[in-house]
Amino acid sequence: MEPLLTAFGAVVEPWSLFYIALGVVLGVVVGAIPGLGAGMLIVLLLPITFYMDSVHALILLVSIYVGSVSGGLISATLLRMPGTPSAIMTTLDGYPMAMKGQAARALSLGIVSSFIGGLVSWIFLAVLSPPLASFALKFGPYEFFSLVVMALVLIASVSEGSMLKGLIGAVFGFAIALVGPDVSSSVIRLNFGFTDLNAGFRLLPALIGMFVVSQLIEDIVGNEQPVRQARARMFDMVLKGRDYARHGWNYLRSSLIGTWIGILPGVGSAVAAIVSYSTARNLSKTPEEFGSGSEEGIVAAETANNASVNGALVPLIALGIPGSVVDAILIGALIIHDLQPGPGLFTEQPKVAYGIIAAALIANVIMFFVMFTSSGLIARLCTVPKAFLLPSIFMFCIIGVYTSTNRMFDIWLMLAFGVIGFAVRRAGVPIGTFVLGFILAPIAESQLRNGLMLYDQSLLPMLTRPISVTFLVVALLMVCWPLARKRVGRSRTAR
Amino acid sequence: MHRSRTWLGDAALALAMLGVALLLFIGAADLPASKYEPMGPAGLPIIVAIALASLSAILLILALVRGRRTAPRVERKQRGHVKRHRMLGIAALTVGYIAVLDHELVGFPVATTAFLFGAGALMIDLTVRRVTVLVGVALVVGIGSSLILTRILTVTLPGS
Amino acid sequence: MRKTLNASTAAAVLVLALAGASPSTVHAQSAFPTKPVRVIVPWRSGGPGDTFARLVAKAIEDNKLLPQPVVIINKPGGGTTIGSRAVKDAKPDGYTLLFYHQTVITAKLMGTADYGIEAFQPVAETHNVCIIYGTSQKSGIKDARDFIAKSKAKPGSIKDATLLGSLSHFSAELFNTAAGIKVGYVNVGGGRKRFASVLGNHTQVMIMLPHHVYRPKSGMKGLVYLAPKRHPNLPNVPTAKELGYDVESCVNYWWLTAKGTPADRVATLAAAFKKATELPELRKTLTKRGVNVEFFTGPALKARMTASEKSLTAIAPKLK
Repeated sequence: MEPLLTAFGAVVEPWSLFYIALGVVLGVVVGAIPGLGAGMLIVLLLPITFYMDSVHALILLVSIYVGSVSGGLISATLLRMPGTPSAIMTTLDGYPMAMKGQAARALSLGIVSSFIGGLVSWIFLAVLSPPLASFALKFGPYEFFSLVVMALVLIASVSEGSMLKGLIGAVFGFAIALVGPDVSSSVIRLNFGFTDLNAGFRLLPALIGMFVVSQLIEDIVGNEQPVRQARARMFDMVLKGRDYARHGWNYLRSSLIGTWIGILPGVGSAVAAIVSYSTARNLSKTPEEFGSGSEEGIVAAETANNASVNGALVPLIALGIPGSVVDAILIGALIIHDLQPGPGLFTEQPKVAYGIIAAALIANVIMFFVMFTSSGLIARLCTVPKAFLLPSIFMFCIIGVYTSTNRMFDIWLMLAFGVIGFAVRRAGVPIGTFVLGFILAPIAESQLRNGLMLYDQSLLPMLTRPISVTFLVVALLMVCWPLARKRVGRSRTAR
Repeated sequence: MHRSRTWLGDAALALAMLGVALLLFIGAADLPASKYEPMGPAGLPIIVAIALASLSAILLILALVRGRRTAPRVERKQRGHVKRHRMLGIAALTVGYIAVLDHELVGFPVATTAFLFGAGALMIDLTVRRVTVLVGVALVVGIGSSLILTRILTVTLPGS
Repeated sequence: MRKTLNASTAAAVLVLALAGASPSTVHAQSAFPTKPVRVIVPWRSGGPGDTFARLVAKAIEDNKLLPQPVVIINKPGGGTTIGSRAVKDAKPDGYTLLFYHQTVITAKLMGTADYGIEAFQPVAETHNVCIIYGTSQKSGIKDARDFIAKSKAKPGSIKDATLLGSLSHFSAELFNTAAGIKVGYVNVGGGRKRFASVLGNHTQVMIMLPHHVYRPKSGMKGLVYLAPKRHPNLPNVPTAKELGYDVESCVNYWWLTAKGTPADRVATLAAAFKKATELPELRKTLTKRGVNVEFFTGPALKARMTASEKSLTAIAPKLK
């Protein structure tokens, strides 16, 4: 505790606060603009941070991350384009609410959710990092595999439409993820001789294509006229105490889900939002509202994705293992400054380790104020005529994708995914299942095959190891839950 | 929101997915086995191909059955936000923009400004006033972004 | 009128001719480089390899060892082959470099790429680091002899956290074949994940670099060092030679360019790298990160690359 308090003391000085605030503002801007993202900005700033003090550099970058995950909800709500992958689920309910003229409320729900998610997960980060990290070390390949199976079972409940199409979406996501290098054998798969495909379909071109470019196409081809919004005033956006009470359990549950998914290496904030959203839907009294403006949906998604940011810092600082793509870049920042992430960081460079933790909290608070004050302005920007807005967003998509891979081929892929995404969404395939499949399939496959290698081709440890079997049992329960629910409902109405 | 309620859309989706499954099968055929575990690189592609083919087949059957039972609803031609030939123009312009960047024919600022102006012009009915504003916006956004990216952030932009 | 025109035209032509023939222009025509030199790094930004490239590039720029800036471009993907292929197919004008290491050889051996070192023109090697086979302090494996004994008693029971097909995998197999033991390889993945696997005692051994062992609170212990002599910071870790196995495996950081690049341009670049490796500041920074700064170019470099290729090719059949 002591070092943490000293870290707070160190961070609450003008320069550090400046960097945190700067990071949050940049993060919100970059998160709000579809196509750009925290990953891109952090990568671009890495060489510049060479010249900065390490603590300042890292708190700047972490603040950008915090800001961007929140900023993504603005364009998700107002434009139906997620500014960052973490906001993909927010488009499902934020946009319908905005269409009904309730943009201010949707935004404020999102902002408060982000704040609470960040707070709750921060408590875990600050207090429980070392024990959580040692717990995470107990996860072997079959533990991860069972966990992913558990998440994939949620596919059944994520489907906003027919379950069949939900499954097809997920399996299609699997198929897309298979192209490229096979991690478990260094063989290049399914490139059909096109060496350009040797990298496979990477996360950013695929997601930006599927969700932003497809929406651009939809905006041009479709006929929806968004309701002309009255200015989203700060005043309209303050939530009443009643709202906090109504969504209380949702806030808590979604924070926990987000924190834990964040702690797991390699999963990320998009999955946190999807899992939280579908859990909320499963437990909701009004599941049919999800997808057409359910407040619970927004709360679940936005609480979880912000919670996952702090959750991901746990393995990052404690073990040096990235929780998501952006965390991998943050580790790069540590390496550039010759800091070794891992248990040694707490003893070798406590200023850095605790500084990052302290900054995460302050960034969360600053994010809250920045988002509240700037949402009105950004909302105004979204009413700019489409002729100016849409081509500019496309330009940002190109910039965002090119800066991450430095290949024009990925821009073509992004365009192709835009068309595919447009077609697939028009055909009624739920987007959440595709993202789940696309992100989780590689993890599931590599962990299963690793387990086979580790346990000499035996699948038995999946059922004998305690953590692994727990997840599988929960997965089984989740499969049975909708059926049980129906039966309970039937017996109730029968009475 | 834009859920296709016609069986035609579902059938098209099912056929497309069957095509993907077929590609997976073909692609997986040449993959070697692994000496470290039984699944190998071909394991999951085959499983996914089978799953996708089965699901698509079910969807296709359901779509055809449903389609035969109910008279096919002809979807009204929804008047788009933008007229048809203009949409094609925007598509062509987009492809051209990326191609120009890909072959490094002109720099990013020039290509982008041209794209921003052209795409915007195709989306609205033009008046002198609008054209001027559009040119202004295109210049500011196109050249502004390039400058911020190359001068401040030292990014290598496409087409450079 | 005409006379004046002629005179002024003649004067203009004369001035232009003089300008064209002036020493500065002659110099500009043969001075290379005249525009920024791009270094393709086939890893994502922020990885350890990327950091080395940026440190060296920065040293060259700060000390003006080349008249033009050195720009790092990350082209990750395809197991580093996206980046390497981009340089292989680039114009051989000396303006595109590749920062790489033995993966240029292992990628071809594993079939990930259909080309190897023969597709490139080597420029220089700036630094290297040798490989250590290690375990966690809590794994119960006491030292190299214990490791070998346990593996011989139950072949395949000791698990190695590795990335199949990578230089780490090759290095491990080089030692294990020489020692005559069978180790169970588990494809845990990239560096950090392997540390977690070993620290969590899911796997027992892994290939790592010396500074992973001697940095404070690493939790790791070295078993055998695959280098010519013992590491100064790890006096208790024997080399493979001392144990009776003639195995050496190091990561050599090479700067390559497209085949067919004119020799004088290659020489200019190599000279800049040589001067960089002599800078005390850069030497200190790189050494602090655990690598040996040693410069090679020309035939000496070719010999090193060929030797590496020979030993890796010999062991490759055991890995596929």
